[in-house]
Amino acid sequence: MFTSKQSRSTAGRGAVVAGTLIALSVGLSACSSPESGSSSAPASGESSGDGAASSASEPVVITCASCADSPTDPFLSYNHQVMLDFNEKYKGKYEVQEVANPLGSSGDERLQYLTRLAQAGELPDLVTVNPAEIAELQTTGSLMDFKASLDADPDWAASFFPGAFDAVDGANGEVWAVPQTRDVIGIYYNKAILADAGISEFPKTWDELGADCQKIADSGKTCLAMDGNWTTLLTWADLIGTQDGGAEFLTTGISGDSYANVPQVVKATETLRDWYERGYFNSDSFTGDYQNAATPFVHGDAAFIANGPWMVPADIKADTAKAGLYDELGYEPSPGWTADGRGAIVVAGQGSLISGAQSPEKQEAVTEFMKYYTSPDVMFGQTLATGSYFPVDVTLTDEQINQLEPLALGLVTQAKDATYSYPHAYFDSPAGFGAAWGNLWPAYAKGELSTDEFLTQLGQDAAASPGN
Amino acid sequence: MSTSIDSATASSEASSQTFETRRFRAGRRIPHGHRIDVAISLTPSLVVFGTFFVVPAIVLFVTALARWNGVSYSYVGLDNFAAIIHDDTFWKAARNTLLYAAVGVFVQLPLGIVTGMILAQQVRGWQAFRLVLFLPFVISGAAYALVFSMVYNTRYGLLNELLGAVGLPSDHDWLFDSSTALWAVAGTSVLVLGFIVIVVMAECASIDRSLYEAAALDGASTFQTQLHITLPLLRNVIGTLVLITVLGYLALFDVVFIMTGGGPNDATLSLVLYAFRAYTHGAWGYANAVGIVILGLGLLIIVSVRRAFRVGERV
Repeated sequence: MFTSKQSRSTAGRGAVVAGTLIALSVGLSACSSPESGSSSAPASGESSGDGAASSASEPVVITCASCADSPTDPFLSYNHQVMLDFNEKYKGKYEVQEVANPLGSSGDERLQYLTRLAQAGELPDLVTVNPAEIAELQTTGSLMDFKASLDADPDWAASFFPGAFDAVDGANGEVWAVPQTRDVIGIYYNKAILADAGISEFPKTWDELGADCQKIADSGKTCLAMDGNWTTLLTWADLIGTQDGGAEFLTTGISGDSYANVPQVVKATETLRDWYERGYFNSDSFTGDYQNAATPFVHGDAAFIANGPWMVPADIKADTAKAGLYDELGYEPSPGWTADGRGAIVVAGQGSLISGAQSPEKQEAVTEFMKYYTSPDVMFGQTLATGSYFPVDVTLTDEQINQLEPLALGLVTQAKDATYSYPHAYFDSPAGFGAAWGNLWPAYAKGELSTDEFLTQLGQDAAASPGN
Repeated sequence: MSTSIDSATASSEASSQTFETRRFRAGRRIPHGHRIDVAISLTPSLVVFGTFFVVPAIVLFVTALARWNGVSYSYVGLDNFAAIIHDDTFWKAARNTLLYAAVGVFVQLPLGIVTGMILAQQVRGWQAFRLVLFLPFVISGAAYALVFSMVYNTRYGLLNELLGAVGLPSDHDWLFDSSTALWAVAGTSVLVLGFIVIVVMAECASIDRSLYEAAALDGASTFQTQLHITLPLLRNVIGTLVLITVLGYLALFDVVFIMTGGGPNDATLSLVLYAFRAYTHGAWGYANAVGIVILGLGLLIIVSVRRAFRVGERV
């Protein structure tokens, strides 16, 4: 896969050697002048400013497996645009080249694919992954540690929100990735469906939500759009996270295998099953296919769906959505178990850039790319393009604020006042959690497993390897 | 080179054959003059065979005796196999795989054989039927699984729509109800008859027509000739088809993975998907141990079916 790039890189090294010899001979006659146009790269962590480079040397080429343009994925598409802009800005000095990533958006298979690349020493210099994948990949010893780069540039390090690196750090203070996103995830609701069911406002408590769901079901609509995986687990996390101690389970307990003896988890799980049994979900709510949740919601057939702000550009404003849907929608933090106990899922680093760069030159180029990516303008552009917010503390102008998606901005504003803040279930769970949930949740919801059996097996299957 | 071998073969059949040629034909030794030729001709095959079979087989066997995740390796002897024996999920996957294979052998195969025998009579429109029946065979398993996922969908699936149209309950969750999931997945392949039909038709065409003429003179009906002449003469090819069908289901992966992921609660899990799960958990040694079990089962099936159907023997 990387053979052609490597060949080019090898050829490039020859040119670099030749260029260096020429530069050296020139430098000997002008070694006292700091402005002599040396081709040597700045020290790691040192920004190049205008990106000017000597024409005497080849640019440092780094590969990116998450930079291929995509007609359907706004994140990949934006990465591609950033790559082009970076290459233009640093022309002659650094160059990012896109490489194929055949498993760009899948789960377990992508991790195994990247693990094999890491073991072969062929991990791309840039690739977007999630925290669970970082936890696995860091064991290969092939990931670049960004701690030194952050330490060398305190301003860059200070630009991130507190806790922005919590999901990507190592046991000994390593920083295995640079987060691209920091999102608040809430619940979209269709005001028109609520009004038709005689409901005037978004429910503030789970009990209210349950009562509203009954009214909505009676009116012939689906209350909660579920897919058996992502949206179902967001709701599960909301039910857990809005209890005292729930956030602790979602940040630490979920990585263990003892779910059944956590009261918050038991309460949330049984509530979710109760709603299923009452018929509040779409009938195809176990497929694990996100589209089976998104479709009824964007067609105006379902009242609520838990999802991130990226749903607005990706689905709600898509051509396939019901005309005028956007104007019918609201977006709020999760209800709570009490009216003053509402919460919101907040995750930094769900999309994070890791690097397999090994040479100092490439690591320096990667660091420059990361700094470029996390600069205010690029981060703001990402929000406009994808709906996803930024992990850096960007001071926005009024003009910029006016450009932001109002639904998402409203949620971010409201979430500041929410009592609870917690990650979603995938954030700190073992890599096998999703498959285990998909396997067991339908059987549990249909009454084939008790809560204790379900949670015990879920914890064990998520954490343990078969045979161990 | 081939001329030399041909001449050697020919000369071995002649009464005046030399001692050296006789030894060459018997396969005991390669004559001096041919050793380099034979070595050169065998080299590409041996390299390919070694690279893509011997080396992976060695890796498979060596790593099946280890706790291995691609990074760290520790020898554990037969622990992986002991764990397999005591793993309820493995037995569930084995039972499911057996059922998939049984559906293939007892439903899909008879349907295909009967259809092939009927179409071999060149009934009206047989070419169109053959084309239609063969189409699903050329569609990839993944695409087929996606199509059937939609057919079984509770909200908009064709199956529930059809049931509703005839007044039957139309809200059943076929793929995620443990009582129907296994049968729903097994049912997806039942109508993939194309390969079986084509093979049976080809075999029917090779049957001596005089047998049918003699039976007709004796007053045998079409059904009787099919039952007493065609079917017995298809024994060899049926044995081969049983073998292919069972081995195909033994390796069943894509359809289950896409339609249910093995759920709900492992109700549709196949052996290969079980091994894949171990692989995605980083338990590569355990996954390879499961692979060896599957390999052993495959060999057992090959030997059993060949003996049962006397595959390869003259009819």
